Amino acid sequence: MKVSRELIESIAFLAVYFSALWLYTLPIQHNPLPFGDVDASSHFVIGDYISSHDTSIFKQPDYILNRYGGQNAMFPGYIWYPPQYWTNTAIAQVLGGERSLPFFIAIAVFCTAILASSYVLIRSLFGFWPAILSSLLLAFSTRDYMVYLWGQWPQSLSFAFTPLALYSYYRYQESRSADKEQPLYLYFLSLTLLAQFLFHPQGMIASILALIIFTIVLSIKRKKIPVNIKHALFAASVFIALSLIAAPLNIGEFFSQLTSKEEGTKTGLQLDKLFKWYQGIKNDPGLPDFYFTYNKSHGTLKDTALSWWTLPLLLIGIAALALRRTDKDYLMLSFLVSFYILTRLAVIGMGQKDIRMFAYEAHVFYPIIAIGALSIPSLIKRAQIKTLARFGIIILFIVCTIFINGNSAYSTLKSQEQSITRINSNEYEAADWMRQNLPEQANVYIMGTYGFQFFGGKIKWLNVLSQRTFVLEPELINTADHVVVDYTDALALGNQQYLTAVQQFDQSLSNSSLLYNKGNIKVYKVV
Amino acid sequence: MYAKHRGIIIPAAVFVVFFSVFFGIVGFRMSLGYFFVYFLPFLVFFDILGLEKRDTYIYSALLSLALLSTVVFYGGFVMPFKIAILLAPFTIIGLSAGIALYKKKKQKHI
Repeated sequence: MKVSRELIESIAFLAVYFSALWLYTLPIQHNPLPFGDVDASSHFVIGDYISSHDTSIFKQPDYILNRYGGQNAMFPGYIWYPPQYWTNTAIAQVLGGERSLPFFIAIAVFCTAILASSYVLIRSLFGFWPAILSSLLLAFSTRDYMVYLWGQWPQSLSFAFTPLALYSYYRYQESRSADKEQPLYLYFLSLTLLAQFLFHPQGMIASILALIIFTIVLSIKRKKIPVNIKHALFAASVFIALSLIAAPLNIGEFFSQLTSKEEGTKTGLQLDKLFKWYQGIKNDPGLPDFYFTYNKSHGTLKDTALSWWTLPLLLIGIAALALRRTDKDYLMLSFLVSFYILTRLAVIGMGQKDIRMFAYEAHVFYPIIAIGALSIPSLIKRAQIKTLARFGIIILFIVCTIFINGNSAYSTLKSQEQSITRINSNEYEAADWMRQNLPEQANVYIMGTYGFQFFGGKIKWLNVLSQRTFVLEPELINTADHVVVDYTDALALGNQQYLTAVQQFDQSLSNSSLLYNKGNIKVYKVV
Repeated sequence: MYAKHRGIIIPAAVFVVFFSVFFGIVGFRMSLGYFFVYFLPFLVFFDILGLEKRDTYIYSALLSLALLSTVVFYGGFVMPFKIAILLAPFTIIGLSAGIALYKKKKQKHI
């Protein structure tokens, strides 16, 4: 029986993809309850409302207005992102028949989509080995699984379309070079950019800049504009028309965000940042320090010498691309240059936006790292030794990826299975009880849940799970008509001081009527 | 069309088995649902455009997330959301059939 090369390649990719999916689903395999910091729950709430009320909505549900009502500056009180991502999560809930687990399965699938798009791009440009090795490395990308754990999910899916946008454009250019122009790929490019706009415009910006740079390079190289203007204008019209139809309330918001200046960021030129990769960023309130350390982001979270293993390969890869300079090399270099520009926006005073752009660093670096590794044998002249060296490097690459990056990814994702930052079963049950039993207009004050002092991620989760307004802001506390007292996190942490504070608060509610008392959580009605 | 794309059955089956093993009935329903609601209608749609097999698969797998959700979202304003999910794949397949018929007619005229 003859097995085709195509079949072997497909099996290899599926093995890598399903390993990544298994890894990403570690936090939910034995615990289906919600996770995700800060605003993760905001990506749950709209889809959850749609599926539970069996209707689509443009207006935000009342119970999140006090937190997200102002997010859409052009249409206050309306959804602040295009509805497509949240509609997908609603569909997942309907298909799965539950609220939490189907949502998180869908999120895991969306966050691993980058493996497929990156594989397709690199396979078409550089062949099987660079594609499979970079996909394997991407499966363990700290940047990507951290974005997944933190909950910046729409951004993650949007960046997954960037390799597909580059692929579509490259296929178009390839067809032009062969004098068999296929404008269809240009139209698929506009659909890909549309998808990026609908999920999160950051991905679309990353694609557009890389495509502009690549087009400039091709124009110089071919001494003519490398696109058919008529086809390009049609593709652009398709993009604009479909964007207006698919997200009518968010186009204006996108442009207003793009042109707005963030408060608190330095303005004026900061040229020194051009010469530092991570621009000396540390102590950013939203991101931990390791996010701006090469070896921890692209090796292992443990600070070992081996954690630097990809850096020399990255430099070799860049050198190999710069020396070869074929169209496909220029495409990868354009991707790298556009990433450099977008992560240097601080130079012109747009610091907050460029920090978020670091999220797709691995998507640019890892294919170049694989190219770098596989270009080393080209320095050897003797064919036999060259082949041996190539397979030696491939084996070493796989071993390093699994035992260094993979090990770190596994321990981090596994540790999230039972984390204090996640909603526990008692909290989930209490939130569901509130959803079914409290009046829709109830204002709830909560004390005791981890992060209650600063409206932490878990409070926001309880807010959206209970579908009731939570008031913690000092100016709103007096509007609360219900109070939740949650002992579960203080007990889980075994912190006596924390527990005493919750008990004292609980005792102060002795004149209120107790509506719910289960699993170390109480709900009172206050007058 | 079946003969051209029958190779997709094995990866699709692996997808369904994977989710069923790890997530039981929820995983089974979701993976099967993804295949029939998202992937298959767009496979039919993109296939008539004459793309290569690999391109048809990747565009169907990813672009359907943006396109199908748009159809379902707007459908959810005029009918129950769950019905919109059910009807959206048929809408895409119907559209594909319409385009295929139109193309066939046009070719006959030529």
